[in-house]
Amino acid sequence: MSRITLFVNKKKHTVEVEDGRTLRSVLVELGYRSVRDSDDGEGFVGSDTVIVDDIPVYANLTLAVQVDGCQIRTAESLGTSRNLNIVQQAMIDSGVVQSAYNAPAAALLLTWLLEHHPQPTREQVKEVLSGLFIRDSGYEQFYTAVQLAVERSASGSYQSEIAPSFRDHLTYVGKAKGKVDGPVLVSGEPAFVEDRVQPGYYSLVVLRSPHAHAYIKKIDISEALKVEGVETIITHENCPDVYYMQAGQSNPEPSPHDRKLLNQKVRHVGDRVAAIVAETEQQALEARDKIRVEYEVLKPIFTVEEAMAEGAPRVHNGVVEYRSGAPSDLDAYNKDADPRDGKVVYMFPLHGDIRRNIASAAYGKIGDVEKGFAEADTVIERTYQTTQIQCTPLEPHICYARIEGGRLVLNASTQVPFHVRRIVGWVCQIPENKIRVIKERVGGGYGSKQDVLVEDLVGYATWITGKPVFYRNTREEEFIANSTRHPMRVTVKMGAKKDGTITAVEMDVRANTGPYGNHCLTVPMNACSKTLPLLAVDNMKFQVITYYSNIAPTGAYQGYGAPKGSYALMTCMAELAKEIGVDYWQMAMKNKVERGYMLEILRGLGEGREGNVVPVGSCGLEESLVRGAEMIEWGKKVEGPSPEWKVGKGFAMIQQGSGLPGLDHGNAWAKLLTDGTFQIFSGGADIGTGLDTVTAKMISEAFCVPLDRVTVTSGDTDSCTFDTGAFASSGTYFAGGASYKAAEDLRKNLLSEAALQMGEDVDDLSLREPGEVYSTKTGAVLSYADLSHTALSGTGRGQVMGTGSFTTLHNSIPYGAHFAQVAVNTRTGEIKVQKFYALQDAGTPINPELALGQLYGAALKSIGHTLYENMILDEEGRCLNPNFTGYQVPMISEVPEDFKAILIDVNDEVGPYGAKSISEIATNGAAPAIATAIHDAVGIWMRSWPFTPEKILKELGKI
Amino acid sequence: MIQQYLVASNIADALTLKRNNAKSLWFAGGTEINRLGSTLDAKVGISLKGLGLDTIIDEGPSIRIGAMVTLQQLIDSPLIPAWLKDGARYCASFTRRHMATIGGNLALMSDHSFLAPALIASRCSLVTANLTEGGAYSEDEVPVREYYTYYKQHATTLLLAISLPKDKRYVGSRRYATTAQGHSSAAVAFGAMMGEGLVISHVRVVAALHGSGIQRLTTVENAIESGELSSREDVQLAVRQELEAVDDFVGSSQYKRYIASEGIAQLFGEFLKGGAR
Repeated sequence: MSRITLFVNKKKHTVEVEDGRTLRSVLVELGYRSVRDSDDGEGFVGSDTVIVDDIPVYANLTLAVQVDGCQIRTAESLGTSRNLNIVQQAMIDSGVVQSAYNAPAAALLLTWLLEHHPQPTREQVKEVLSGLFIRDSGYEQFYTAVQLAVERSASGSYQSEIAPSFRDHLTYVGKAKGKVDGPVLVSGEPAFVEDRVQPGYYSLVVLRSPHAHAYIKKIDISEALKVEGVETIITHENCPDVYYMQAGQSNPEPSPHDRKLLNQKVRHVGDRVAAIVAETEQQALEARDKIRVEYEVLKPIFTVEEAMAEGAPRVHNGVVEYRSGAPSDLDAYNKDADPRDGKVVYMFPLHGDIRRNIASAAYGKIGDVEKGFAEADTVIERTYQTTQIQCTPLEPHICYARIEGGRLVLNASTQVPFHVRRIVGWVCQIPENKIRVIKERVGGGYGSKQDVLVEDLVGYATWITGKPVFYRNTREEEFIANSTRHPMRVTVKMGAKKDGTITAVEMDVRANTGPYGNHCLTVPMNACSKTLPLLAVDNMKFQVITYYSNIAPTGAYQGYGAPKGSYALMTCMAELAKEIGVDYWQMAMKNKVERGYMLEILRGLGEGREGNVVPVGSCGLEESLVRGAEMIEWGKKVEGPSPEWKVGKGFAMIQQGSGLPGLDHGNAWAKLLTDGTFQIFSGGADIGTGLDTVTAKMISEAFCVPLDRVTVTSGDTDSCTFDTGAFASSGTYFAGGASYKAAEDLRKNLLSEAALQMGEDVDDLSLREPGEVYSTKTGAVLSYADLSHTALSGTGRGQVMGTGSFTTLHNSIPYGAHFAQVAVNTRTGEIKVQKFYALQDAGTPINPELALGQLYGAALKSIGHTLYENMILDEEGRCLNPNFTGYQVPMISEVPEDFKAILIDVNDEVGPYGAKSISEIATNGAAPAIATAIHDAVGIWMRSWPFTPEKILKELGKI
Repeated sequence: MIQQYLVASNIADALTLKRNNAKSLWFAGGTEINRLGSTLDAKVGISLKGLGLDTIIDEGPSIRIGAMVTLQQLIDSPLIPAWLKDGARYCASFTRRHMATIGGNLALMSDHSFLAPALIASRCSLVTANLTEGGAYSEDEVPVREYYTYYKQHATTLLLAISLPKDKRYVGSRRYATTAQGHSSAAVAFGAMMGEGLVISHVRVVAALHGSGIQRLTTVENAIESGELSSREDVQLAVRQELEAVDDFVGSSQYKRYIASEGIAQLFGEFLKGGAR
């Protein structure tokens, strides 16, 4: 132990610390919570950045004793949420504060930069941010943030445009107004689950399987239970006999219930074997070491090909049940079941066949593909492979739960609070009214927090012990026991006439769901449902089969299966264009859909049921293609900087959805407070994307009041109304749509009350700034405050409220095109993305600055998937690179030299104020755009992502 | 994991602390010792902070770089040659560069050392301190090749400074990684002098391949000096044949051999053209 003195933000702290303690842990204990941890001390992400004696350092790589006597600055020194410094404000205004787990660290670094270089160059900004991993908004808008801060420092105001503005007749919608929760997030004030944990909590740790496929023959917890402080140990022997699945989807789920909390059979390295709850983490870890497990190790399978093989080991070999639609031969089918495998329960038939490792399957077609292929002059068939990708949210999966008033209360970092409530209730076998889920700010989800991966266990542990329980994944657990992108093998057969007209397309998708069937139908289906409808082709057919295996779990990931389907479909189209001698861009223009085209293909692309056939509505596809081609100078050959560097251009058409018509549901309610301000309660889960800001703008726009007179409460299952959650690009469209309707209902009710109080006709009344009802007939005015006061004075009609419920069968599809220019080094296989232009139609971008940030972030993420990222397993199924340095994510060094996000202005007829979705679609373009650009540069087709230098060299015949 | 952190009052004190504490390590910037997944294992860290080892001094015929000079200091100093700044920049994180030191990075002598290949290729010398068996303090100047060859035996030696000669010598390095902050599959360096009549001498060929440590290719060095290898292609082939490599998650052995040989061949080509020194 050493006694040290730290001067933190000029405040003196003298503390006794163990010599091995990190500076971060001491700072957090002293209350400087902005110093966060994303990498367990890897020195990579930078959420733990502080300034020591005017030098930036990682607090997790620094021992507290190292900085005895030093001056330390944390983000708390910059400004509070009510008094932000210029940099913090500029970050919010520019749109870079999104999920924001390390936004305080970024603010600290940029403030430090401007103190040393008041007019920094782009290169200096890049350098200072080089030690910070930003996954949500990319990096591009940080340059804008710095520019804004410089301008405001010099002149007191901004001169540069923050983001384009949309819809001149609107005041808040379509305008950059800042994120309503930005101040709290950028200042590092309590916002995340970890900030809610109270002293006296119990720690939960998990014993995980070292084997990819094994039965637990025996588990002995007797010695572990003797460890002081241990409250309980949960194993397959004492956990509830309840089958469920962890995907937070619509109910009944199109995923099989194929697991219990803990299973007798482990199905991947990292699978749960035991959960230990103890008074301290150290005690829980000590107990974990004392658990003795005897395994019967089975042969694992890791690939689709292995899963498909005759006689392949069965990942699930238990009893199959159906909640509805059971086949008549089910008893015979179950004769071979092994009780140690448990059960697989389908809510309805998904064409699964677990004895052949098939978790689900789907088929569909329009027209006659064989006839279409016969009509073609050229037919090609190509197969494309994608690998397993990790979401890497900066805040790992985390949950804190406790009992309050006899109810189970969970503070969760989730995209689906209402599904968390339902699934935890099901696991604990308690009704939903006994559970409250409070969605905190989410430090990055990207799909993986659509799955209920930790709340099930933490909720159950709390329910049975009655103790407050806290759990947080280590970064390694994020890799091995989390949702990832399904690896897929996509075969596309495509035929076309000489003039480039596509006559038929067939897609065969084989997906690897890993040990459990989370999203086993919906994610792979998206490989077809979010790509085939781009083409105006009469003959199309698809087959989607998803296999169980023993890789790390898969599940939802931003874009679902669309990035993989898009990669295969677009690249195949480019290959076919090359084959028949037609320009790829011309071929895209010739075969793309346009407004009014009837999307018959959607009939077979519903999620477990028949889909709705609708025409293409608002559509910015053509404009995206035309403007993108102009920007990148399509067809103009560019020379490389030296002979070994070859330059090429490529692009891809992209689309996604705006939620799931007929499945998703948004609800909201709003009330007028007694002083004329507003509160709106949205079921929608803001995961950093700006959904709460969308919600607030619905009120501001409807009532002509500034955003600071509107408070948003969201994602709290007690106070808010049901919402299916933040996935499938549904936030703005469905949750925002519900808020729009709630605001409209409140507006109607407010006008009705005003008419009564003012003695006027409703038709003569309008609302205006600064928050009053105005009679166009008499000129009378009634402030919202007076109106509300009268309504609640004992003689009025009560609180003015409004509700909104949003559902639709309409498909407001966002469209776009991403263009890339790459340079390929023919000697080293290196690839530089010189230009990347992401053009997208998001309808009316309600928060344009945040929309741009999401676009940049998703595009950079997909560049990462295309070129760098890959989870690599050894022959035993162990992940060899479960950390950032080994996994390789794109950081500011990898940002394209010329990176532009363009919002194509198209107004949608259904979405709130014409809005559609924005971010998921942006993950779909990079792989095919870069693949086609590489071909343009060096003549090779990259049919397996990531396109590493080694693969490039192999294709070039160098190795 | 460090359990005890000892602060030395002077260099002799540091050496005494090291001698008296089993399982101790010199503690420089801490970026490796404290890092998740570090290969270093020590209970005791002996701090080198405050010992005056963090300066860069022009000593006339050479530049003396204190072992505690950070990678960012190297980049910021006008005294440091471009090839060494390049090596410092291979550490792509600005924040980490402010913490990691040249001494710590060299002492790692591992395949993920940013600077070791280039420093070995530079023929620099190292100023070291030690205690004799009787406890007397001594300083020595050790050629970097000796430190490279016997670095495990240097575990108790304290690296005080790196001395870079200002002779007319080409030094260049390359690092190949999928991302700037990811593991490198190969980091290579080449150093040599061109004398009268285009005679090539004092060649150093160094490669750090992931999973295979740092390799000095003396056969290739000798062949270049003797004129046996004179073209870029010859050098590439020879390097490829001599390198030891393993398959791992960073890349195949075939790729690593190829890319390292390509990098060294590029540097050799630059040297022949009279490239940057």
